[in-house]
Amino acid sequence: MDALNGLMSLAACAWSLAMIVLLGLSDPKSRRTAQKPVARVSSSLRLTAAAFALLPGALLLAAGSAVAFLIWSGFLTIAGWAVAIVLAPPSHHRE
Amino acid sequence: MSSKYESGGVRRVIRWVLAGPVAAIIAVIVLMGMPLYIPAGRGGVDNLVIPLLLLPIIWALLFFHAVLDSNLARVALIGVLVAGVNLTLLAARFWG
Amino acid sequence: MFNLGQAKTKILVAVHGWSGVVLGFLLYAVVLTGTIAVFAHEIGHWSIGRGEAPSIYQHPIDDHVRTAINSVEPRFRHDVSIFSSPRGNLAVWAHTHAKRPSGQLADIGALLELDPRSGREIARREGWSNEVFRETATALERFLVDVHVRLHMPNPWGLLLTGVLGLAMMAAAVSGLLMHPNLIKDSFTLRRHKKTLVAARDEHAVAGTWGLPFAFLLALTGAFFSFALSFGLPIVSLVAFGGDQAKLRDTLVGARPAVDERSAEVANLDAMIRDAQTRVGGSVNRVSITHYGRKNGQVTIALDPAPGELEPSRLVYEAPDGAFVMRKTRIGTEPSLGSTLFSIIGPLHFGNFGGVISKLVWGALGFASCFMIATGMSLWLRRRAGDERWRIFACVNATVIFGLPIALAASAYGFLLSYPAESAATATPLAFLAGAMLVISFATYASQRSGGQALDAHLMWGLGLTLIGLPIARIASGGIFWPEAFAAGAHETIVIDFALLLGGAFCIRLARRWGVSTLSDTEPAATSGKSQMDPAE
Repeated sequence: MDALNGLMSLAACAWSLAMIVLLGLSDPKSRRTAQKPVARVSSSLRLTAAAFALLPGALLLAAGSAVAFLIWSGFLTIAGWAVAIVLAPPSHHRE
Repeated sequence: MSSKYESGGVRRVIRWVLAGPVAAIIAVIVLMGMPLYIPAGRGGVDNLVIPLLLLPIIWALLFFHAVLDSNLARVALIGVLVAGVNLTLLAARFWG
Repeated sequence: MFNLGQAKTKILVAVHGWSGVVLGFLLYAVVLTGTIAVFAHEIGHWSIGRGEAPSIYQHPIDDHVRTAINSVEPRFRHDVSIFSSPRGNLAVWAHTHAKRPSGQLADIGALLELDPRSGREIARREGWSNEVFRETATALERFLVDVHVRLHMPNPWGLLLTGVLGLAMMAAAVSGLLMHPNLIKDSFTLRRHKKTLVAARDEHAVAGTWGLPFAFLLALTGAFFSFALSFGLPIVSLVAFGGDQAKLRDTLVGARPAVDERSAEVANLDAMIRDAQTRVGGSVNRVSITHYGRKNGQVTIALDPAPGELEPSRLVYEAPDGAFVMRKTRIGTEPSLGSTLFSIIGPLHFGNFGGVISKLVWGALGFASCFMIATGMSLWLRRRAGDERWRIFACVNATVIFGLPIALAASAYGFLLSYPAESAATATPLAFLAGAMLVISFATYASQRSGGQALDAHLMWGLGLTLIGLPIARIASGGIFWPEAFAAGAHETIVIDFALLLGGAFCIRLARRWGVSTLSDTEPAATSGKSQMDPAE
């Protein structure tokens, strides 16, 4: 993969990862099960974060970089799963 | 009120026959018919590649329709219509 | 996400569950081998201890190719293919078409392996193509891909079976999407601390939710390949062209040039290659010459996708004077939606469109899919934990989920130990079978002895040790050690060695956390609702 597509992929992945982390940290159901106080984040704000998470994909498609778009979309899947795992309460967590 | 899904054994068997072998056979019939009505495109291969790509999707549509539609007669009717149209086109192509 | 009502949801749960139970093991085999096959090329390099060689086309090849072709029997000089050999050398395959004794048409010729710099002949093999290309160096790579593509079964049955598994994966993905009422709301909900069943359900649901688009893409493209190759393409071609083979061939690959058997030297290949690289920008993959030495000869240069693009390119030149004729699509006579789709389905499925980065992402997605299948089976069994009828199935489940990777690793052992003796083509699949038999025997013994308790952990121990042993076996069987590998540019060898060592250590750590401190422990220690399928532990 050439340097430009590599940079575009990296930037897109980093941005979307940040948005997914925010979504994960503020997820109300996840926080409830971990007995954390529910974050005061409105659903419209969460929706905006979700849109921002998907924004790089649209930009990559508009730029015509199919390779970067595919790498980004695959990364998004893995990132979401990884964030869910990392933020989940450990198995020995007491309620 | 009894659900249409609280079916006797016969209804269940019919549903799974429609969802299983019948859906598969109809999907293959549609695959065979598609080259006749999907345009060949500039390169002359669109009507070969697109049917092959659509085959799993068509099967999935037929399968889930058979599984989820409470009206088995409607499932059978749609299946017969879809297969019938494609078989007619194929017959016209080869024997017309 | 969708509220279909209780009755329909119940049916979808049944579809999802039973499709998983009935076909889950085979699907797991296909997905696991597919995940590994993403790196088949790199594994092939690792197994013979070499790195990605520099392109053979960076040196002039014209003289070497002419000398090589002039050294083979004239009857073989009908068509010529030029490509990189598994060892990174210049391969020249001069061949013609002939009928085998069985009456079947096949290619027969001479395959020469040359040093790309000096043109010195390194190896030569003559015969039918299936004999000549039975290359020992790629035995492990080919075995892994073959298990994935057709479960090592003869055509067309293997292809049909993997096609059906693709449909099963699609059915599971769609039913999973439809039956889960709060797919998006639950996408970060992992209640590992809850009772085992809830934790198991969450693990499966979260992995499935995030992996849904990828699962659908894999199922669609995989089913396309399987069905197209087995029966689909012949069927649609028959309908479209009514059995007219000539029209079919002309449409798929373009009309044949007019017959002209007059002799004509082939123009300079290096000039054509340079021109192709200038026009397209990708690196050259293969050069094919049809009707070599004739007036109607053509040179087709296949190039990898240009940076940032998905579609590979093929450029056609007149062989006698090197004049550019056209840019050819992979299939069809002109660029179209169909030819574009055909070109990109492969990269989308294999994940090889963006170098090692895309392969790493696709490999991770494949692992996530394996995890999804495994947790689905685990969830099914946990719902039936008290049912004695499913106890044996639980043992079989553990044997397949953890045993299949062990058997695949055994095939690598078989390759490494037999490669020096040039018998890797047969030893690799035999080693897989031997590994599978060993795992099954152990699992049978363990389940009879301790009722299957700790079987997961014991097999995980076995997997860990098997993985750690692979780099040791590679080096012990004559493979290069790391300093030598680094000096030779065989970076993949080093990376895969470390990945195996780390992966093996991780497996052993998991086994210990599942309560089996050593391989000889028969009972797991008491655990508090700990899920056996947690990748984060």
